[in-house]
Amino acid sequence: MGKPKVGFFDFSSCEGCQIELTNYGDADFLELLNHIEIVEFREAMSEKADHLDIACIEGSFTRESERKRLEDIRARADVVISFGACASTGGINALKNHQSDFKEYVYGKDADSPHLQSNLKALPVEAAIKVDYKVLGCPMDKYEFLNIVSSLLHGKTPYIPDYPVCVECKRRETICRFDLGDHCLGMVARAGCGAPCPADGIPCEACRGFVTNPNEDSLEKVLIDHGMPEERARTKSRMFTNTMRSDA
Amino acid sequence: MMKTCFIKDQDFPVFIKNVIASENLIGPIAKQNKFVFDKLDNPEELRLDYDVTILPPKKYFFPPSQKLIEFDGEKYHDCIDPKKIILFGVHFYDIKSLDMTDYLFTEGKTDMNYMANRDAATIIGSNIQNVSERAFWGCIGREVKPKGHDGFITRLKDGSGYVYEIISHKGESLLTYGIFRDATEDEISAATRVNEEIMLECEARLPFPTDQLAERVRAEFNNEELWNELAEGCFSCGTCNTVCPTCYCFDVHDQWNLDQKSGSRNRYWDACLTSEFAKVSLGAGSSENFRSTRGERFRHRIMRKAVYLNDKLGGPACVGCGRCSTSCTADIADPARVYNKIMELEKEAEVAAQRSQNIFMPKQAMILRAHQATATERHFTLKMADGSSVHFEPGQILEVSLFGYGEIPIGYASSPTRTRTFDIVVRAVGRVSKALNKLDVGDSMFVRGPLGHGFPMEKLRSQNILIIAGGIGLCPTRSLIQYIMDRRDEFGKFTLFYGTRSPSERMFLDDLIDWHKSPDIDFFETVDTAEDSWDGNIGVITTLFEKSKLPSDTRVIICGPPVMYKFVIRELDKAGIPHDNIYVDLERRMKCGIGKCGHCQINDKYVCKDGPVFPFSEVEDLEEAL
Ligand SMILES: Cc1cc2nc3c(=O)[nH]c(=O)nc-3n(C[C@H](O)[C@H](O)[C@H](O)COP(=O)(O)OP(=O)(O)OC[C@H]3O[C@@H](n4cnc5c(N)ncnc54)[C@H](O)[C@@H]3O)c2cc1C
Ligand code: SF4
Ligand code: SF4
Ligand code: SF4
Ligand code: SF4
Ligand code: SF4
Ligand code: FES
Repeated sequence: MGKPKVGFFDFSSCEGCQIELTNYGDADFLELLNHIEIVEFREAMSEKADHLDIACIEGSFTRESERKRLEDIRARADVVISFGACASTGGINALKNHQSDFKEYVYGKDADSPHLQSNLKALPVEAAIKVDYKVLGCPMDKYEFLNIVSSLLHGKTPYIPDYPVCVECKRRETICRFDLGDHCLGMVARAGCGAPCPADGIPCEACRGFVTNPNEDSLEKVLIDHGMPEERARTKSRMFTNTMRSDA
Repeated sequence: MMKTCFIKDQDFPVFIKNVIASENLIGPIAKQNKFVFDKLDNPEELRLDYDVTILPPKKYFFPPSQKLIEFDGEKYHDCIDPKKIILFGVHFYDIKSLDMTDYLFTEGKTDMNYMANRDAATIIGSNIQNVSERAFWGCIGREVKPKGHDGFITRLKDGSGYVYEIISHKGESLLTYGIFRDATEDEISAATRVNEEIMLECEARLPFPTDQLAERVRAEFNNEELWNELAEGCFSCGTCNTVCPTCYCFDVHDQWNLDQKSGSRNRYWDACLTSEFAKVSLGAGSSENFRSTRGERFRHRIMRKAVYLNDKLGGPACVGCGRCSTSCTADIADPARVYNKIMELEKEAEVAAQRSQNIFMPKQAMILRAHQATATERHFTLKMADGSSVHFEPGQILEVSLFGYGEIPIGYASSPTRTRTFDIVVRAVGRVSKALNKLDVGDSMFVRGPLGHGFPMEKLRSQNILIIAGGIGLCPTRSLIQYIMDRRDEFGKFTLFYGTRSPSERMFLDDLIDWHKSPDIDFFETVDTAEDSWDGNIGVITTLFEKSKLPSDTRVIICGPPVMYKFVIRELDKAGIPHDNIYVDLERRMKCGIGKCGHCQINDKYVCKDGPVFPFSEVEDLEEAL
C-alpha cells in the first residue's frame, strides 16, 4: 500500500494550527512525511487530487457559500478531520454568535463592504458536512494530531479523552489556579492537551471546547464563589465554547 | 529490629546532606503556597513542617503514566526498571495508604510494575507538625495502624533534635550518614507525646466510630435522591480520585512511535468520577455507561472509600488526608461531610419511624444471666425476645417494667459495642425494683429505650478521660468504661475513681480485678469505712485526687449520689478543669422518659430527654439541679 494521501484545507481561521504542525521543518513533522503524502496544501498546490485518504480542514464554516467547497472535500475524502478549534467547535470566531454589532465594532464604516458578508454565526465544519475526527485546541496539539494520524495509519480508532483538563493538570501536580486566587475553566474543558496552561501559570480557557455534559451551572457558581462578578461568570466560557454552551 | 536513636538538631542538616550526596533522596518541598514530594538537592529544601502534599507519595511507585511494555514490530519487553529511592518525611496517613496500595497491588496476582518500585524504596515517616485544613486522619480508621515503612523520625517540641525509630534494616542503614546515638527513655516518651498530641489537634470531624460507617453508607446505596443531591455540582473532573492516596485505578493505551513501527503500552491514572470510566463500547458506534449519572459516579467513590474494601483493608479505604476535599473546585468531595450527612439521615429516619410507634409500648426482654452482685443489687444480662439488636450510647437509659408492679428508669451497664445482649443492674429499693430483683434466668421483663442523651462521645474521643463513679454510679459508667477499653487508642490517658461505702457494696468484682491489672486504665478505688481485711484506700472519693496527676485538659464524668457532686467539683476546680469539660449524670424521679410527664424537669430541662448526662456548665446555675 502506498502512503496515504492527505490534503489540508483552509477556512475562517488564523492558520495557527498549520503553523503549529509544520513549525518550519520540525523533526517530528518531517518524520511524519515518511508515512503520509501531502497532495493538497491550503490550495497552494495547483494539482487537485481526485481521491484523498485524509482531509484536514482548518477554520470554521462562516459563509453559506463555503458549504459547496466543504461538500466537495467530503465527497473526495475517506476520512475528514476538523483541524483545530475553529474547525472543530467554531473556535474564537464564534464569539460573534451572540452579538449583532460585531461588524460595526470591528470594521467601523466599512462594515457593509460586500466581501465582509458572512453568516450570522461561525460554526464548526460539522455543521456543513460529516466529520470523522476532531483535533481540538487553539492551536491544536501537534502530538494529539500525530497520534490520531498514527492510529488511522494502522486502521485503529483514535482515542481522544472525554474527561476534563483537571485530570491531566493534577497528574502533573500543578497548583490549582483557584488555590492561587485565580480562576480556571479546566473543570469543563476537554483534556488531551496535557494541561500546559495552568502549569505555565495561566488559567485554562477551554480552548479545546467542553467535555460531553459540562456542568455549566456549577462552573458559574464556582467562579462567583471565587470572586468573579456574576455577569462575567455567566459568560466566561464563551471565548472558545460559544457553540457548545446551553445558550448557544 | 526496633531500635530508637537520637540526632541533635544541629547535626540534622549534615545528615540530610550526606544522604543527598550518596542516595536518591525524595522529600516534601515547597511549591509556591503548597507542598510536593520531590527530589532534594540540598537540606534547606526539606520541609518537614509541611501539612500535606498536592499528590500523595504513591506517584513514585504507581506513576501518573507508566510504560508497561515496549514493542518494535518484532520483539517486545517489559519496562520494569526500579530506581532506588529514599522517600523521607512521609506522614502516618500516607504510610497507611501505601500499605493499602501494597496490599491491593499484590493480592491475587502481584503487579511487579508497582511492587518493584516499592521494593526499591526506603520509606521514612515523620511526625506531622501542621494539620492541613480539611484533614480528618485524627478520627477515621483509627483501627488501622501504619505499617510497611522502614523508619520514623519525630522532631521533639523543644527543638533539641529528632528521635529516629528504626523499623527495618533499610531504615538502619541510614544511621551511617549522621551522628546518631541511642535515644534516652525521656526522649522516646517525648516523641510519643508529640505524635499523640498532634492527633488531638486534628479536628474530630466524625462524631461516630468508623466501624459504623460501612453499614450505614451501604444502606443508602439506593437513595438516588441523596447521591444526586451530593453530586449536583460535580464536574466529573476526577480530581478527587487523582489526588487520593488510596485510588489506584488505571487505564491502558497503546501508542505508536513516529516511526509507526515501534511503540509502547502505557498505563495512566484513571478516575471513576469521570464520565468515561464505566463506559462499555458495544461496537457499531453504540455504547452503554454503567454509571451514566454524576450521582452514580459520586456514590461509587464513596462506596469504594467507606464500604467495598473495608474487609480487605481492615478499615475504610480513606485515610483522612483531606486532599480530595481541598482540591475539589466545586467543594463537594469532602468524605467527612458526606459521612456526616448520611449519619444524620439515619436520625431523620428514626424520627419518622418513631411517629408511628406508641411511646408507651415496651418490648419483652429475656433474662440470659442473673447474678446477685451485692446484697441489694442484681446484675442481669438480657436479650430482646424478638431477636432484635440493641443500639445505645453509654449513659443512655431505658424504662424497665413488670406489669402490675410498674416501670422504673435504669441505665445500661454494658458496652454498646455488644448489640445482641445488654446488661442492667437493679438495686432493690422499692416496689418495682424489688420485684425485678426476684427474677431469674428464663424470666422476662419489659423494656423501652434507649432514652435520653448519654455521654457525648464526639467530645470525649481523643481526649484524656477521668471517670468518677460513686456507688451504683458505676453501672451507667461501666458502659462507658468498657467502650473506652474496647477502643483504647481512640482516647488519651484514662483514669477511673470508684468509691463505695464499704467493701461489700463493691460491684462487678471481676471487672475490678481486671482494671487493677490493666495497663490501659489508671484505676483508683476507695471505701468510706472498712474492716481490717481491706487493704485498699479508706476515705471519701475526693481523697483519690491526691493519688493521680490530672492534666487540666482532662474530660471528667461524674456519676454518683447527689452529695458527691459538690465535693468532687471543688477538687476539679482546684485542678483547673473548666466546667465545660465536666459531665454529670443526674438521677431524678422519672415516669415517661420522653420529656412529657414533667417529673424529671429541672428549670427548662428534662433529665430524661435532655440528659441524664449534662455538661456541668449547663446545669450548675439551674436551681434544684445539684
Ligand atoms: C437516669 C437514671 C438512671 C438510673 N439507673 C439505675 C440503675 O442502673 N440501676 C438501679 O438500680 N437504679 C437506677 N436508677 C434508680 C432507679 O430508677 C430507682 O431506684 C427506681 O426508680 C426505684 O423504683 P422502685 O419502684 O423500686 O421504688 P419505689 O420507691 O417503690 O418507687 C416509687 C416510684 O418513685 C420513683 N423513684 C423512686 N426512687 C427513684 C430514683 N432514685 N430515681 C428515679 N425515680 C425514683 C419511681 O418512679 C418509682 O416508680 C436510675 C435512675 C435514674 C433517674
Ligand atoms: S488549575 Fe484548572 S485545570 Fe488545573 S486542577 Fe485547577 S481547575 Fe483544574
Ligand atoms: S489547558 Fe485549556 S486553554 Fe490550555 S491548551 Fe489545554 S484546553 Fe487549551
Ligand atoms: S467531586 Fe469534585 S473533584 Fe470529584 S469529580 Fe466531582 S467536581 Fe471533581
Ligand atoms: S478519600 Fe479524600 S480524604 Fe480520603 S484518603 Fe482519599 S483523598 Fe484522602
Ligand atoms: S475506583 Fe475510583 S476511587 Fe477507586 S481507585 Fe479507582 S478511580 Fe480511585
Ligand atoms: S420522665 Fe417524664 S418528663 Fe422526664
